[in-house]
Amino acid sequence: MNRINPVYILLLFAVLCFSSFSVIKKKEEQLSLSTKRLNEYKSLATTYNILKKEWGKKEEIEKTINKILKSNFRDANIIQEQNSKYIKIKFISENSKLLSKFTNKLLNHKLIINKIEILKNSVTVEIRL
Amino acid sequence: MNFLSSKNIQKLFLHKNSSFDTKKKVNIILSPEFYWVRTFEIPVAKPKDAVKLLPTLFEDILPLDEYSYYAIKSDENSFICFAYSNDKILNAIKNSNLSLSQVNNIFFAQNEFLEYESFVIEDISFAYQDTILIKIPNKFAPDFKKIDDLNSNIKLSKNKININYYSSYIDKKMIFVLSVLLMVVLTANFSKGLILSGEIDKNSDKIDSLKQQYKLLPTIMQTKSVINKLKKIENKQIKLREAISYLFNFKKSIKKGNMKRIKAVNNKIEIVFENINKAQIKNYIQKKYKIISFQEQFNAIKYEIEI
Repeated sequence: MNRINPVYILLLFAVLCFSSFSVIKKKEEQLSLSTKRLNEYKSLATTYNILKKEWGKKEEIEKTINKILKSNFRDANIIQEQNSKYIKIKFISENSKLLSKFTNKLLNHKLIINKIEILKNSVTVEIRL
Repeated sequence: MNFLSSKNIQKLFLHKNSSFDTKKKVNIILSPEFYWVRTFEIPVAKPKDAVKLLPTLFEDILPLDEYSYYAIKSDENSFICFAYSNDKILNAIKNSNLSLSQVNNIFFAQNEFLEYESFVIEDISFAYQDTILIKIPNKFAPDFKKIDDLNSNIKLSKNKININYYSSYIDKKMIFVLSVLLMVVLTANFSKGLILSGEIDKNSDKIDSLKQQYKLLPTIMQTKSVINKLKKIENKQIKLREAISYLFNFKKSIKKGNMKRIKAVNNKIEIVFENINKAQIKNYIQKKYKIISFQEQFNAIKYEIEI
C-alpha cells in the first residue's frame, strides 16, 4: 500500500535541497576564511622567519660577532666579555681608521646594540643575545 | 457494522454511509458501490498484463475520473476486472471515522462473499448474478441470508488491492521528474560540499605544515606578538644607526669642531663636541632630533638628545 504521499517525498527533497544550498554557502564561507587564514599565515611565516633570523637568533649574533672580530684587527686591543644575556666588547686602538672600520662593521650588521660608546681611541659596545 | 476480527484484525464492510467507532487495525471489504466490475476475455497470461489493457476496455463504461485497475484470472484468457477511484475510497474511509493508519488491507466484496449466493448486510441486499455481485432492492430480497455474525466464517481472500493513501492533486510523473531534478541538485551539492571540505582540510594541513616549517607559535596572536616585538627592536636599531650616522656627519655642515665622545643607551644619545660653534651644532642636531639637555665646559659642549 502506498501510504506515503509522494508530495511529502518531493517536499522532503526540496527541504534537503534548500538545506544543501545553505550548507554549501557555509562551506564556501569556511573555505574563504581558511584561505584568508592560510594567506595570513604565509605572510606571517615569511616575516617571522626573516625577523627571527635577523634579530632573534643567538647563534647568528655570535657568528656575526666572531666574523667581525676575525677581520683584520690585529693592531687593536679587543676585550670581550659574555654572559647569557649579552656580549660586551671593548675595542681599543690609536688607529682612527681601524676604529672607524670596526664601528662601521658593527653598525652595518643586524646586531641588537644595547649600549655603544665611541671615543677617540676606543669603542665599547654591549650587544644583546 | 462490525465484523469480528480474523487473525486479530477486525473486518469491516464499507459502504457510502458507514460509520465506525474503533481505533483498532481493520481490514476493509468494499461495497460494490466503490468499484466497477466486468468479466473480459483478454488474450494474456497474467493479471498484471491484463491490467495494462483495462483503461481501454473500461473506457466506454466509466464516468470521467481517475481510476485504478485490478484483475483476477477466472478462466483461461478470462479475467474478472475491477476499476475503482482511489480518491472516492479514501474519502469514504475518512467519512466513516476511520483514520488511514488503521487500515491494514482493502478487499472487494465481489471476492469475499463467494460462498453466499445472496445476503443482506446492514440492511443492504446483495446477490451474485452471472458471477458478479450486485446490489438488490430490499423488497426483492425477503429471504436473503442476513450476515451479522459471520465474522468467524468469513475468510478473506488474497485479492487485496493497493490504494494510494493520499489524494493525487499533482501528477505522479511531474512529482517523479521534480524529485529526480532535486536529487540531481542534491547530489551535485553533496559533491561540491565534499570538494569544499577537502579544500578546507588542505588549507588546515598547509597551515600546520607552515607552523612546523617556520617553527611558528601555536596561535596567530602569539606569532603576531613576537613579530611586533622583533619589529620594535628592528625600528629602534635602525633609528640608533641613523642617529649615529647623522651625528657623525656633522662635518658636512659645520667645518670647525670635533666630536670627542658619543654614547648611546636605549633611546638617548650623549654627544660631546670640542671647539665647535654652539649655534650651528644646536641647529644641526635640532633639524632631526630633540635636545633634552646640554652642558658647556671650557671649549667642550655636551648634548643629550632623544632619538
